[in-house]
Amino acid sequence: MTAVLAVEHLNFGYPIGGLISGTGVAVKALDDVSLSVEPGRVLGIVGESGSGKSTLLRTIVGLNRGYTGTIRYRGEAVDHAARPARRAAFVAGVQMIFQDPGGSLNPFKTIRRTLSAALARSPSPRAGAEELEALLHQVGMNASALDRRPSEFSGGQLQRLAIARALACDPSVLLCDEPTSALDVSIQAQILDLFGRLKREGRAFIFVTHNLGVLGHIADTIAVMHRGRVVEVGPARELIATPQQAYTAALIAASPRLKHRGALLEHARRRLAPTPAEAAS
Amino acid sequence: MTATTLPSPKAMLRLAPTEMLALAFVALFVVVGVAGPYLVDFNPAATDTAARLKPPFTTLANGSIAWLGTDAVGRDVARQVIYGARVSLVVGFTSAAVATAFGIVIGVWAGWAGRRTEQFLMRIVDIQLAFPSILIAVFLAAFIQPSLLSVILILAVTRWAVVARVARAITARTLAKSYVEAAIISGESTWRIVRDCILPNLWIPLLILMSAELSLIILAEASLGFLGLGTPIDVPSWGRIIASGRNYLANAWWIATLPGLVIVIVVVSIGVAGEVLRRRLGRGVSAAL
Repeated sequence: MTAVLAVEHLNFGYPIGGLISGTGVAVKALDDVSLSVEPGRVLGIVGESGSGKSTLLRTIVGLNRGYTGTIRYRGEAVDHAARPARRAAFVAGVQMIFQDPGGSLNPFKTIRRTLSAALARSPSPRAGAEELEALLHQVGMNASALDRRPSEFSGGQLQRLAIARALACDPSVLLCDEPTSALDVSIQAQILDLFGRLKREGRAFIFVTHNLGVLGHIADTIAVMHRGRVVEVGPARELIATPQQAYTAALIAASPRLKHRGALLEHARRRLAPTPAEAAS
Repeated sequence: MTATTLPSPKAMLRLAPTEMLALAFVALFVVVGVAGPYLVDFNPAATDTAARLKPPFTTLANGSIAWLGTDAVGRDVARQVIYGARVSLVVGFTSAAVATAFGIVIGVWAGWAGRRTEQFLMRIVDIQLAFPSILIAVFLAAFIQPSLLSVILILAVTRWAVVARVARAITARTLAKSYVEAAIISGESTWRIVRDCILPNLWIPLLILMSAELSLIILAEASLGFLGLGTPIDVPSWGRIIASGRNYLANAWWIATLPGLVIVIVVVSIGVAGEVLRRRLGRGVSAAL
């Protein structure tokens, strides 16, 4: 299967120091990173803080300029310096979901305005009441949310709404930067179930987290990052069961609650799963 | 000794009598500034030597009472103060508005652009803030033909830098928020991001800052008037009245003292009103100021 999104030999450095900003040396945040993800697959990226995993996502979507290497979307190289109109397919096709649910929606706008604006940007603009409701329904919310502002929702609800905004353009790739870290475990399970459904619809995910337990549940492939480099890539279960690199083994050993956390998630998921009667209806 | 407790939020919103008094003075200042010249008749060029240097509460020959006395050429001080209120009001609000608008443009530009543009703009702000603002005002006023407009612009030039600094700080902080990044990622135009995501964060902190700027500008306008660098000679201004009374302090204290008292009351009232504003609206914004 061909990759929907791929990065090849990506290098990026954050400039630091210098009397005048921009003149200092660069800290290498991405060092020759090459990864790809196919439709309907989840690529998990794991690593400690500062390993470059968030930087990778931010570079892919164009928040970090001045990288070298190639980003390919559906086989075509993406040029972030081009005018928005020229990279419309990429902008609509690759959406990002952020870590802090509280900060990811404009607090001054009602949900209706935020989602309408997102729908208006999609390749086939449509922003009727029906589309808005359908969008909210996809993330398990209803139309009563439309005329409220972000301050009136809980963290889990906000993350659902942020996902709804990302889904407005019908993206084929979702980049998730620690999307469940700020949520408690039962809400995590709900959000992960939602991701599972989106995955079955054929959407690809790059899922960044420091939590191997979460990745074990959702990822097909796991890439381990350390100091800007990808140190190991492999199928999720194999990588967790038999890590090849010492660093990966250390990372897994450093999650003593991995099993416990997985059990918690599993328990929450079972509790939330629809009963056979509900499923039938 | 009883334990002290924090007042409840509701109690904190309640106005103290002094605060109500301050708000009343601000309202009075605005009303007098807007409507005063229509209520009383005053000609700054008219002189009446028979009525010169009369103390407060003197009944003049034409039957009117000089509540604040008369000056060295027999003009009613109270009427001058009422006419001067308009200048203070117009100069204060217009200058504060111009300074705020310019400061927002520069501050948001710096915060948005980052890197060298930000450094360049913020160093200009730092250099300007290193000089006392009245020094800049006097320096500029010495070069420019005095007029109401020039006073407004001069005072705006002295105050924009503080606004720019606050606007830059808020812009930089807002840019790090995910919703702004989401807008950047989705290819929104810069202007739309500034309008929808950044400017809404500025209004309340800058409204509070503007109240502080307003009283500083009114004081600066009076200072320029006192130095003879303010509004043209036929436009009565509070500073100019005080300057005209300076030579008569020994035998006619009211000419300089009573308008001075009015300035004090107005400036202190605006300060207290700003504090009320901060408490009502400014939850969580004080850190930005």
